[in-house]
Amino acid sequence: MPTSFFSPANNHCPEATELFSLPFNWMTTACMESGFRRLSGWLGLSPVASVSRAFTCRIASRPGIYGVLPVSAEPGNVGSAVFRLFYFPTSGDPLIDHVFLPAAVVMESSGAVSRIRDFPAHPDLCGLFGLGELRLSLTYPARGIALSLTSSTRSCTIVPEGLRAPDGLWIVPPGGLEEDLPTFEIARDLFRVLAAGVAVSLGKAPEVLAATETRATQRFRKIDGTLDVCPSRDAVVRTEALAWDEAALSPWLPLPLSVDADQYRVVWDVCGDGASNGNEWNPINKPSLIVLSGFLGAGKTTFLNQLIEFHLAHDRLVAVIQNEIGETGVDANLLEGEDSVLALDAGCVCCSLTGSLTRGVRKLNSTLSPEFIVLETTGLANPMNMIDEFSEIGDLVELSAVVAIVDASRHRENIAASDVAEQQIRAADVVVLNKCDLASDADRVEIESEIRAINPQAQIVFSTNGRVNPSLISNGLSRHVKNASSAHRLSDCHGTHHAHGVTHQDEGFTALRFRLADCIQREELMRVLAGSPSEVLRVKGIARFDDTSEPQIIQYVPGYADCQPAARDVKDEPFVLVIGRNLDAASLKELWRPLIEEDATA
Amino acid sequence: MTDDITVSRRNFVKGVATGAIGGTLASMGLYSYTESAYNRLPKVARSGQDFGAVRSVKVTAISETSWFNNAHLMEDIKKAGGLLVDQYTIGWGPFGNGKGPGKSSYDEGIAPIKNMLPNDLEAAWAIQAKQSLHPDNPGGFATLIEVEDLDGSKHKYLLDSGWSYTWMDESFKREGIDQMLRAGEIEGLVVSHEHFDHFWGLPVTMKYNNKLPMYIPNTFYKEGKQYIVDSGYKGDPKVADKELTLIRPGMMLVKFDVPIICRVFGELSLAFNVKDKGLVIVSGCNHQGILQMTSTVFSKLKYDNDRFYGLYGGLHISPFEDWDPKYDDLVISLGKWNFEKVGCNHCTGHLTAKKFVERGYPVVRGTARFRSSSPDYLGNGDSLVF
Repeated sequence: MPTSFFSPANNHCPEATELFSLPFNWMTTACMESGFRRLSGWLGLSPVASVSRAFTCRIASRPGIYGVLPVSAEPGNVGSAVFRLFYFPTSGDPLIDHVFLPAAVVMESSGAVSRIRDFPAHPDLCGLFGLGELRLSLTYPARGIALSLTSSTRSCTIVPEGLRAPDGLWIVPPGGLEEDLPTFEIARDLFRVLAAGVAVSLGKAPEVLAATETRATQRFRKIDGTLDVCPSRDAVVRTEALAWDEAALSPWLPLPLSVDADQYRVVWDVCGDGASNGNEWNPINKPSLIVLSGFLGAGKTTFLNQLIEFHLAHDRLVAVIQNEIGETGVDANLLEGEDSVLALDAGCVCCSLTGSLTRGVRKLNSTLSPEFIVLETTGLANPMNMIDEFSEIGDLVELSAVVAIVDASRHRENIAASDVAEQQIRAADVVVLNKCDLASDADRVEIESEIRAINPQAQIVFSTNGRVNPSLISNGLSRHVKNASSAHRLSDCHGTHHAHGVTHQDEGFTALRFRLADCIQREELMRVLAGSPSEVLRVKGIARFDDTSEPQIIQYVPGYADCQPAARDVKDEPFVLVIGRNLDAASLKELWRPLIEEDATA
Repeated sequence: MTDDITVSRRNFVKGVATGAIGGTLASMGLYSYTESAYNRLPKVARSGQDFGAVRSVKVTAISETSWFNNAHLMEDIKKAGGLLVDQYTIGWGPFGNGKGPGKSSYDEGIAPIKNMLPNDLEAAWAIQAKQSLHPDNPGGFATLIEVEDLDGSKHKYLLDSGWSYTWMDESFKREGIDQMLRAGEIEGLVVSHEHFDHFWGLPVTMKYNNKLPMYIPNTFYKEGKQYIVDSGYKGDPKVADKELTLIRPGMMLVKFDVPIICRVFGELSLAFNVKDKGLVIVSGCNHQGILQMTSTVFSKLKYDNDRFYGLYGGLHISPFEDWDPKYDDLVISLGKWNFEKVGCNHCTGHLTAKKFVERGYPVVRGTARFRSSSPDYLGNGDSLVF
């Protein structure tokens, strides 16, 4: 394994700061392996401002936030470091009913989450939410590593007299438990992800799994509120250790008990064969597929550009399969990173898929092996029609989300104009309600409930200018995959029974393409756009004006027209694509005639 | 717990949390922490090292275009095996060997060009162009830093030496760096980290001055150390092995031990104390993340007005994703530190830079010349004075 989370400056015995840095560094390294996050459920970390190398983090299997705090280190030939682990159950986490009452109050207070980001600076947070200890040990110079977790299997506090609220109601019955947490389990959920991080960054699974147990205590809350400690009847303090080198275990021996290896399956899963070789097939290298739909002019390309840049900033490649109505590519010209865009054959991917998506995905996997593939469908695509195809490409990609971009300013008109607009919402895992700045608050609330009525399962995200953090939409699996695996079809779970979903041809949508003159006047273009009849739902294209040498991208949806310089060199001839329903080709051609290149209507 | 009690417990908790039930917890004696409380916590202290001051710092982007096509770069990395793969094996110039992605090595790559370094760079790169991946893609990152001391004297440094021999030589000539190096006007080269786009153009600096002081982090791999020798360097690199290394009064190297993609480890950033203004941070990539950078200098250094004044370089979004997607937004977080002047480029991202400008952050925009791609970047040939 060429990369390591260890510093190559290895001519000295690691110091305390280096030992403290290791969890931080191995998780950073592990995230470089594409697919690690998805397989392990790691959701990311945030460094703590007040204590170097402390961090907060989250994992998919718990709603709350974990804290990892370095507390002591002993450098040496078997160096070791101790970290305290914390778990903060956020509002809505069922565990909040089982933590200390003051802890529950802290978590329900406003600003709790932002205080947690710097939990070592807050005594109440450190005092109330401790889980146990993570230890690591490291041999020098061999750099064998071992990890262990020590925590009580059950942490509970009995209140013999019970506790009443001021209104007289019992909040803890006499002899009941104020606090009752499966502390070890909570801690192990994080511990196994951290161990998976070591495994993937070392490129190998641990050699030893072992455990030991000692007696645990439990607490009594006395009548004056103070706590008494006595031996627990059922709980034990358990230590589970994983070692990549047996020598590193020496500080914690003996470890006479065995460990259920199933609990650590993910540690082996993440370092499956070829984990470091992107060319071989391996689940860790399977790209996530995001299907992007949205009615004409809703802001799909704007959103997609943000997504591409976000992932690029995290060194992840997004490839795009574009499928446009009409012949060519305005949209490809609008996208960042044009070389990772694959345009599918003309025609609508959802009306005439016939394997073209599969071919496109195969091609991208073999040439670029991206982490994400976005299928950007036409504004008139009905993702319902693609569901079958998704199940067929399950070997090649993980369908991560079907996203529908909805134009908040034109939602009603679009829904009225086309069943496709509604179907897009129905099929979505995530609905991005875009252009919120152009809708009143009241409208937004109403549209949100309309969307909920169409699709109660979808997550709704609000945005302006397509600005949505892509992590919100690309963590996890689409429900279509989950449904497929439980033998549900999308149409069944919504109670609709389209043998085939409605297509845009059924609805009378067409696109007209006009070749524009090489040099036109801006005012003239704006006049023509403003004169578009109501059947026209979208115009896009490329124009060259007499007042500027740069090619301009034309954008039009009803009520909005704009021309912006193209972000890059555009080599296409000037043209427009006019998309709408029941278009009258002759009268539209008449409207555009002043701008059309003579005898060059395409 | 029965349902009724759960409900009354929740109502009680929410009532106390929102202040509807006041003072109750204390009167019930409930604020006693568990025994694990707070007894072994590390102390948060600002050591506040005084490191002098400078009158001004001027940065000029010699080249911020590290490569010209992201998709080609990522494609090469992916084909070589992904982000964990050793950069010397990927197959890029000057270490390509013609065997394809992931099959290259330092020794095989450098063998045919070793004797051409550092003087015959055009020929060396031409050989590599035939046996490396996407040979037209490399550009490079290099910045000229001009420090004005409190006594008015000027001192020049280079931060990084780029990647492509031909592109960097052209960029050096465009900005007159070749003459400055020849004349001995440049007092040091700081190599921020071992990455291809910051370090592999080292022979271009060596061509004009192979004895200037060179600062590297102590985390270079053996290939990187060998390359310094093979590039024709005749000096002794100053190896930064501590978190802080003073270069001159008011100019501090700050070392971060972080793993970086393509088997690189550790990055050096620069911190300046500009008199009467505050702290200025100049970085190559900021792989440590802005938060790590700011919290380190906040706790370790003393600077005028106790404020962050300026920021320059690639503002790499934090290398680790935040657990809260809503929070993972450099655009919002940059606002918190209230910098007065920001120059960004390189790995910042066009849309991100554009959003800084739209939010009214004090971004010094550039001129988008010499293949720099956005006017929101402090681009190739653009300068900024702190």
